[in-house]
Amino acid sequence: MATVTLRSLYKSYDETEVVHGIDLQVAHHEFVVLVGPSGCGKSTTLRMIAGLEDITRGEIWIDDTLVNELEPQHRDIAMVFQDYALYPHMSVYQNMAFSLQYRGYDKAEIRRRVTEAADVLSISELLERRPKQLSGGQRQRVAMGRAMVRDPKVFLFDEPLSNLDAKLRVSMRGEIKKLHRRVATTSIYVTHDQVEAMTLADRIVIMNEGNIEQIGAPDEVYSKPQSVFVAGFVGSPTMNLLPAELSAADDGLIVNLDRDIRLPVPPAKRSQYADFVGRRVVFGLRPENILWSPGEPNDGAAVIRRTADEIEPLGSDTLVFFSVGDREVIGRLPPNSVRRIGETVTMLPEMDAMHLFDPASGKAI
Amino acid sequence: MGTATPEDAISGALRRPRRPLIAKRRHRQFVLTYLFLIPALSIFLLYRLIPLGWNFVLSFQFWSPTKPAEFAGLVHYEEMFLFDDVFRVALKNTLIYMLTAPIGIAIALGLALLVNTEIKNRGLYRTLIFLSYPLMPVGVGIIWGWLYNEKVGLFNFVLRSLGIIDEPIAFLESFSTALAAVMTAAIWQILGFFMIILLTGLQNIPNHLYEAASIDGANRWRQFYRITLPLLRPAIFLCLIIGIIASFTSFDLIFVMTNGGPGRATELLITYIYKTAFQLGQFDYAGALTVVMFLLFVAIAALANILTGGDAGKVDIN
Amino acid sequence: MASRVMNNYRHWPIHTTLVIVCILMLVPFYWVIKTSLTGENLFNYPPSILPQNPNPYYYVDAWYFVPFARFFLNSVIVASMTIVANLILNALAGYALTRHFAGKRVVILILLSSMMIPFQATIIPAYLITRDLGLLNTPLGLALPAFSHIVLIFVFKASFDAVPNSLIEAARIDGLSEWKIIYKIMLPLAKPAVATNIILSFIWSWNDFLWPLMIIRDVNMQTLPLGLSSFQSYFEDTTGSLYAFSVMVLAPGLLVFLLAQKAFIRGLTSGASKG
Repeated sequence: MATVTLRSLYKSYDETEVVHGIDLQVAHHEFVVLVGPSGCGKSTTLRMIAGLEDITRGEIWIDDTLVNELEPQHRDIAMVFQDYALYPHMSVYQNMAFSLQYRGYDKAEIRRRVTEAADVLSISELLERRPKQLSGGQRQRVAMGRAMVRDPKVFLFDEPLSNLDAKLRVSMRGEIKKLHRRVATTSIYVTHDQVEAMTLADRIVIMNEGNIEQIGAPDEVYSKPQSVFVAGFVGSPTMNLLPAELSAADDGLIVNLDRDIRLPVPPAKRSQYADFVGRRVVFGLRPENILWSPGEPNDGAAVIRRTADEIEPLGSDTLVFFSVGDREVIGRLPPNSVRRIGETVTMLPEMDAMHLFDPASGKAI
Repeated sequence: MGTATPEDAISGALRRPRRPLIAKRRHRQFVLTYLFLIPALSIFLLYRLIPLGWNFVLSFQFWSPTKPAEFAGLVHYEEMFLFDDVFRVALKNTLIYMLTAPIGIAIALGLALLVNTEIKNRGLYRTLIFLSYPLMPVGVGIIWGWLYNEKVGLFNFVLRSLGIIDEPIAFLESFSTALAAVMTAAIWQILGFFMIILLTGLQNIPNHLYEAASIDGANRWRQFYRITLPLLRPAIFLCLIIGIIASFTSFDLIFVMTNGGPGRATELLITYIYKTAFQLGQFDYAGALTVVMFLLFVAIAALANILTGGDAGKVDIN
Repeated sequence: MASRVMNNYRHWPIHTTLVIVCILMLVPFYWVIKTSLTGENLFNYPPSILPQNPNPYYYVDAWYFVPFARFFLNSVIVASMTIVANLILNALAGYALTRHFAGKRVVILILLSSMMIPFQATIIPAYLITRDLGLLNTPLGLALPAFSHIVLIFVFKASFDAVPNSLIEAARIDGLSEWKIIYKIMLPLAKPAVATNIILSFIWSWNDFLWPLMIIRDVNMQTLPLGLSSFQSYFEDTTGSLYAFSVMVLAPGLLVFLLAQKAFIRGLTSGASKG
C-alpha cells in the first residue's frame, strides 16, 4: 500500500507564494499526472513531495507517515529527472546499483535487481557503458531503471520526456504506461504536455498559478471542464471560447454569438443555465463538435455559416479556421470538405457538447 | 522489539529514519551548512581576523612575553613617526620596492602580447618564462646572490667581458645598487605570473571586437588603447594587487640576499618588523609597525583599484 | 602556402624576442646547475660557459654534509598535512557556498576581507597564538595557518557550481548524506579543482620560509627552505656543495610544477578569468 496525501500545501519563496494551498489524495497504484503551463507550481509540488523543497505550510503524508520533516532518502520515493541526472562518472550498472548500496542490500540482491530492471527496460547490453555514450532515449531508460530497482513506495516523474524528440516521446510514453501496468507503483508525474497527461494518467490534476483547477479522469476533464482555464488547456486544438449572450426565446434558451449566430440550447441543459439568462457568458465548443453540413440544414437547427480563413489538412481531418466576431474559431471537419480559402462553409455545432462559463469567476455554469 | 521478525528489522533499518537530532529540515540544513564552513572559517578567524585585531590592540600597549600588558596610548606611533629613522628608511624602501609591480606588469604585458600571437611553440615559451614563479623564493635569493657575487658572479663576468665595467661591482654590498639588485630578482621571479594572468585576460577579449575595430579603421595602436587596455583592466588590477602584496611581504629574498643591508639600504617594513619582534623582542613596537604597514597596504590597494577602473570590489555572491 | 611563408616571415621578430627573453629567464637555472656539476667558475677566471668534466662530487659532498633527508622529510610531512587539510576544508566550505543559507553574505564578506589580509601583517599575534597552542617547533604548527586557502575554496565552489543541481538531488533521493554527496559525487566530478588544490597548497607550503623561520628553533624540525638558508650562512665561503644542495632543494618543487602545470596555472588564473 502506498498513498500520497497533500493537505493544504503552501509554498513561498521569500515573499512570493507560488503554491496556494493544494489538497490532493493519490490512491494506491494510481498514476496521477500534474499538468499545467510553466510556473503553475506543478514541479514545486512534486519537489515538495520528494523532499527537495521545504514545505512552507501544510502536510504531506505518504501512507500514514507525515513526511514534512523527513529527508528525501527516508521517504522511500524514487524520482526520474528531466535531465535524467545520471552520474557521469559511473557506468550504467553503477548508476542503477548506487542507491541500493546505501540501503544495505547485499551484492547478489543488487545484481539480481539491476539485471531484472535492465531486462525489463531492454538496456541489458548497455550496463557497462557510461551515460555519455548513450542516446537520449537510452539515458531515459537508465533513469527509469535507477528508480525501478529501488522498488519504492512512490515514483515521481519530473517532465521525464521533455528532452526527447517527438517520435521517441510517443514511444517512451507507451513504455511508461506499460511499465506502470506491470509494476503498479503509485506514481506522480509532472508535465506541461496535455497529450502526455491524457494518455498516461488515471487521474489528471490541472494546475494554474499555484492552484488546482480540476482533478479528474482524462475523459472527465475533457468532457466536463470545470473552468475556462481547463477548457482552454485540454484538447488539441483547444476548445473554441467565445464571448456570448444568453437570452430566452419562446421555446427555450438561445446562445447569441457575434451578430448573426443564434444557437438554441438543448432542452436537457436549460435548467442548468437558467440563472444566467440575459447575461454575458463564455461559450465553449470543441473543434471536433463542429460538424460539416454538406447540404442545406433543417430550419431551426443551430447553424454557423462562415468563410474559411485558413485550411490545415491533417489527413484524417481538416482544420478549418474562421472568424466569429474578432475571435478565431477552429472546426475539425472531414477531409476534403473544404477545398479553398474564402469558400463559405456551413457548419452544425453539436450543442449537446456545448459549455458555458461564468466570465466573472471563470467557472463552468 | 521482542517479537520483531527479520523482515521488520530490515525494513526498520531501511525505511524508518533514525530519529534526527534536529527535528526541522530547515534547521538541519542550516546547521549542516555551517558545520561545513566552520573548519575553514576557524582557520581564517584564528590566523587572519583575530591576529589583525590583536595586533591593533598590541600597538597601543607596552607588552613583552615576560611582562603583563600596560596601556601605552600612542607612544609607539610617536616613537615611530618622530624618532625612528630606520622606520622612515624602511618605509621609503618599501615604497620604492613596490615599483616592481608596475615595472613587472609592463614587461609582462609586452610578453603576453607576444605569446598571444599565433606563433609556433607558444606553449613552450610560456612554460619557460613562467618557470621562475614556482621556484622557492629562498632559492631565488641564493641563486641571484651568486649571480651578483663580486668575485665569482656571472653578471660581473659578462659586464667585464663586454668591456662595460673595468672593476667588478659588489652589487649587493653597495648602497647604490643593492635595492635595485634585489628588485631585479623579484621581477625575474614574478614576471611569468603576471604574464599568465594578463594572457588569460587577453584571451578573454572576444576576437570580434578587434574585427569590428579594424573594419572601423582603427589601427593597431588605437585597438590596443581602445580595446585591449580597457578590457584588460581587471587582469591588470589583479596583477597590481598581487604585486603590491608581494612587495609588502617580500621577506625571503631580502633575508637571504642582503638581510636589509648594507646598513639599512634594503630594509623593508616586513624585515624590520621581523627583526624588531623576533631579534629584539619588541613585540609591541613591531605590532605598531605592522598596523602601519597594513593600513598603507590597504590604502595603496584601494588606490590601485581606483586607478584601474574601480569596480574590482564587485563580487558575485551566488 | 604563400601566406604561411609570409606569416612565418612576419613572426621572426617575435620569435627572436621571445627566445632572448627565455634565455634571460633560464640563465640563472643554467648557471647554478653548471656550477653544481663542475664548480669551475668558483676557482677560475674567466669561467667557462660550457660545463667541462661534469661530476657528481658536490652532490655527494652535500648529501653527507647536510641532513638533506631530514629536511626533505620535514617538508614532506608539513606539505602532506597542508594538502589533506586543504582538500577537506576547502571542499566542505566550497560545497556550503554553493547553497543558499542565512548569513551567506556575511560569510562571503569574511572570506573576501580575510583574503585582503596578507599573512605577513599578522605574524606577531599568529606567532603568539601558535605559542599559546603549544605548537612551536611542530609540523602541525607549521601547517595550521595554511590549512585552508580562500582562493582554493572559490576554486572548489566554481567547480561545484558547474555540477547540475539535479545530480545532487538524485543523490539525496538515492540515500546519500551530504558528506557522501561531496565525497562520492562532487569530488569525482571536480577532479581539476582537486588537482589545483593539491598543487597550489603543495607549492605554497613547500616554498614557505618566513613562518618556519619564526616558529622552528630545533634544527631537526627545519624544512628545506630553512635548511637552505641556514646552510648558506653556515658554509664558510661559496662552495660547489652549496650549489648542489640548492639544486637538490629546488628540483622537487619544479618537478611537481612541470608535472601539474595545467592545474597550477588554472588555479592562479581562476581569479583573473572571473574578472
